Amino acid sequence: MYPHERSLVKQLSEKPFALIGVNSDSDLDGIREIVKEKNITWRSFWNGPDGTSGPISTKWNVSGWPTIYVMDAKGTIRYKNVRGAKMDEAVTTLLAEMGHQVKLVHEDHAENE
Amino acid sequence: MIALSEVPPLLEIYPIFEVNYRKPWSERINLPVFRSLLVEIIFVERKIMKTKQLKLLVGLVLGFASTGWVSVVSATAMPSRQEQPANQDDESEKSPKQQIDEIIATFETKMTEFSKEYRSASEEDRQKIIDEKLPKASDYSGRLMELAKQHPADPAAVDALSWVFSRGRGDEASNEALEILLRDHVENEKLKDIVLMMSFGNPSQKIQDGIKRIINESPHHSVQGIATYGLAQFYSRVNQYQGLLDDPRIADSLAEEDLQYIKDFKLDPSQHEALYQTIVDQYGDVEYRNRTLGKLAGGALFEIKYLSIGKQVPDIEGADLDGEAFKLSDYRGKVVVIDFWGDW
Repeated sequence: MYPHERSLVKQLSEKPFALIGVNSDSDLDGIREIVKEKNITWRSFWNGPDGTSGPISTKWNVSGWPTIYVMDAKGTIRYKNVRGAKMDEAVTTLLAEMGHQVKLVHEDHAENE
Repeated sequence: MIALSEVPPLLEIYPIFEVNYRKPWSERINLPVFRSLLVEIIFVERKIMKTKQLKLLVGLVLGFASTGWVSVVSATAMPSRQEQPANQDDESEKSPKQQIDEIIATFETKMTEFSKEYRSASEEDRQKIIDEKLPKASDYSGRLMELAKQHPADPAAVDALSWVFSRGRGDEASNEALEILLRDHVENEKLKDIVLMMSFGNPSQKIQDGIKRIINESPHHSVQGIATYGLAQFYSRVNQYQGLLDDPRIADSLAEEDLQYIKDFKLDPSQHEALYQTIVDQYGDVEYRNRTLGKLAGGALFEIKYLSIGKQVPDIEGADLDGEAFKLSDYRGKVVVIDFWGDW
């Protein structure tokens, strides 16, 4: 997951695109370490000390991790739970709607979760 | 890192699963059905689960286990070993309830013993312990069914049938137990303990009709409420299954009529929403495992109303991992991927 998402964020750094995490680990210090260690380059909300029972995931009725939503530029939900190549396809489609043609190429295994 | 040694104790909490330790993860755990089943359990249970157990289950769902020798399968896929629990006592002296309680207690004791032994054993001894000590629900179902049939009017018969249904999940005895429960005990308040379990597992017309019967015929407010929630969850599950039929492993595992039922099923979103609304309005106060149906159904309702494809995404206001406040709407004008993630 991390390599794929890192690659996505890197390749789309000049495009109107953002990957926003909602981190559901209860241990904030621990997850800060992970962010450094695994080179997680995108921004995340923290779901709070209750971890998976925190306020954001509870409100969003999230019952499995990862849960993924993809929005277009207007903030309309367009895709749910797309991963790997399907996430690429969703993002590419939505960027194309805005007139940005992109071709995503990932290095070895980056598409694998 | 997930400790696989935590698996056996979980079996006691989640009787609908048994672990097949011989098969590699990849063969079964990635089956979306089992993943979604686990997801559901996490959803229902997460308030009362210890973090470690939750993490393990999440790990199971994601197939993130570090070693490749354990998988979660439904109990039906397990080869059963036929050995009746030994019982030297004179059973004629005991009431049906005593006998039923004893059989169930014997199973629980064996499961606890197994868990303890498994956890303290070395890696190489574990397989042997599994082979020899892991108790099988199917070894206990026969005697419980017999007692339930001999004493159909005894309140303990319902306990026996419920146990066989929930522990045997999907095997023949389990199906029979459910049939008897619906036929003879549909008004029993204890059905609230099993009605949600009916919505797990392979969907069928029979299950749908069974849940509806409980809603219509139970005189108990709490049972009606939990059954209604079960029906709403059941509809989600059938809908989910429709998306999985491309996978031959799913399609092949279903009986022909169940497959047809799933294919023909059509989820009416407004009806589904109305069902959850009914639960919130009429049964919101009913408790299910430390949570209210109002809260459980309210979450599902929010998701349908505001988080369906085509809806305007609700804003998120919070702080990032460095404590800096920000909003999801700060990113309006961009294509945004939201990823609920955790490192486990």
